[in-house]
Amino acid sequence: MSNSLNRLVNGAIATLSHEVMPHLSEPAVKASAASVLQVLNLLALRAAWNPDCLAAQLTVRSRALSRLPTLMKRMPAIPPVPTLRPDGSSAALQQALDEADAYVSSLVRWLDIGRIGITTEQRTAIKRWIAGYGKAAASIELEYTPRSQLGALTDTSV
Amino acid sequence: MTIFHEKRVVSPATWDFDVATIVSRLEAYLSAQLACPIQIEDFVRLTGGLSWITGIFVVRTALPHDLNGRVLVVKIGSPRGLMAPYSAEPQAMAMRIFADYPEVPVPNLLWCSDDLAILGAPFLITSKVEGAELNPFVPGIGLRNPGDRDNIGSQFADVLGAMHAVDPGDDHGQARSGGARYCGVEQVDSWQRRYESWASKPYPVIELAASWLRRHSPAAARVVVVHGDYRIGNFLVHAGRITAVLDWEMAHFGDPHEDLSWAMMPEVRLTELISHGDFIARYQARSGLQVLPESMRYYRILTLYKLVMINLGGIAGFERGGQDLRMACMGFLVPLYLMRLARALEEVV
Repeated sequence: MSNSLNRLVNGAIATLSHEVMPHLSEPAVKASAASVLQVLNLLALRAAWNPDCLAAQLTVRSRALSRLPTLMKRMPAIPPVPTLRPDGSSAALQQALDEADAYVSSLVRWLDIGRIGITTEQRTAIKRWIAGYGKAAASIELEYTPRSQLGALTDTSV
Repeated sequence: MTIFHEKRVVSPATWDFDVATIVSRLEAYLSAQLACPIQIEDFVRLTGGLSWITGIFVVRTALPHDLNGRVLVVKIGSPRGLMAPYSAEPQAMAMRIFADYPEVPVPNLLWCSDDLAILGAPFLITSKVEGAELNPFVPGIGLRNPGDRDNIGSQFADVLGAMHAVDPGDDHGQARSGGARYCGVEQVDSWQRRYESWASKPYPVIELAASWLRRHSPAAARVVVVHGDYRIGNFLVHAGRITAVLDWEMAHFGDPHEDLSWAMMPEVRLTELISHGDFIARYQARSGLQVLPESMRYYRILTLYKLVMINLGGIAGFERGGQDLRMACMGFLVPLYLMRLARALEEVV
């Protein structure tokens, strides 16, 4: 739910070097900005997303998915819950997250087709579970997201 | 002599085009339109928004002309803007319709085109209207004179009521096509098309929301021109009066409840101007429309769904080469709105 790290760091470098630094006049401030730029350049070469963040997101999803089989008892031909056992790398964790979300999204479409043999109560229970899954996924993502500063981003006052 | 001023720049990164090139193309275009050589002076770019690029300039004509010395506004739909690709048509459509209704103040549309050969992107050129925008994202909403609060709040309701009282007519889309019209479904279809091009992976809450919204859309009691982004921040205020409603890029024919729900979402601080109860009461009196609680419930969910989509658009636009880092920062809002959307869906599914 965010831009790729590479795009973010390079975007920050471009903004600082092309849009901010040319407008700085105080030598000490220019030097400070130049040092920030150097740090960003280092991050561009070395940084990767923290796997702990991705692992925490996957744990939340796996916990939610583990409750699904009970919910789906006696439902015909429901798509099987995927097994998510990635190695600890960021790439594998991200892939597992996407796989979990793709599966839950497919449940919405599965319900939409108008399945025979599912009661209204069962349909409602799965939809509530999907909403709860989304809530849990958003909640853990928020823990790893800085608070938005929309006021500062849109402020045109001089 | 052409003079370029770049002042009050908040984030010049929104300016995807070289200013000198834009001005030179504007001069060529306006010279042709006015059938006399013109020059552009005092070009100022404004960058409060994250979407269309806005510039203000003075026209100098070589021959006597009504426009000589006039201050005009150009809006350019950058291909790297938040909701690109753009068309000038929705904004132009709205401005043309409301040009005859002073109770819905809009800038005077002079020229517009989607022809990329002219400025490099769709654009509109309008008159400049006196006034300043408020900012709903800061405490106090940037209101300079608190004594204007009640007056502006009342006008905000009256303008929307007047807007929705206007019959857009048969020659403006299919506003009066026969039978019930389920405008919510049309909106979801339109946003889902964007979602498919923006999202790099599926979002279960968005899928669930789209499914629910498609199945529960109320029939519109009246199909009107919906502004699509009617809120504090998208109108000008001068001397205690709303002088123009701006930013019509999401305008479309739809259900009036869509604008009401949007204007009342908590993050745009309507209650800094008028209470929700007074807003609805004045709106109903002015529009002649009855606000339906069931429709409001539906459009509150559509509002949350749109908020997720717009901020997802920020991530997509920046990932695809957009130069404004603020678009990436908008992505920080996606989990917040997904959370609120999921909570709302839990109550209705």
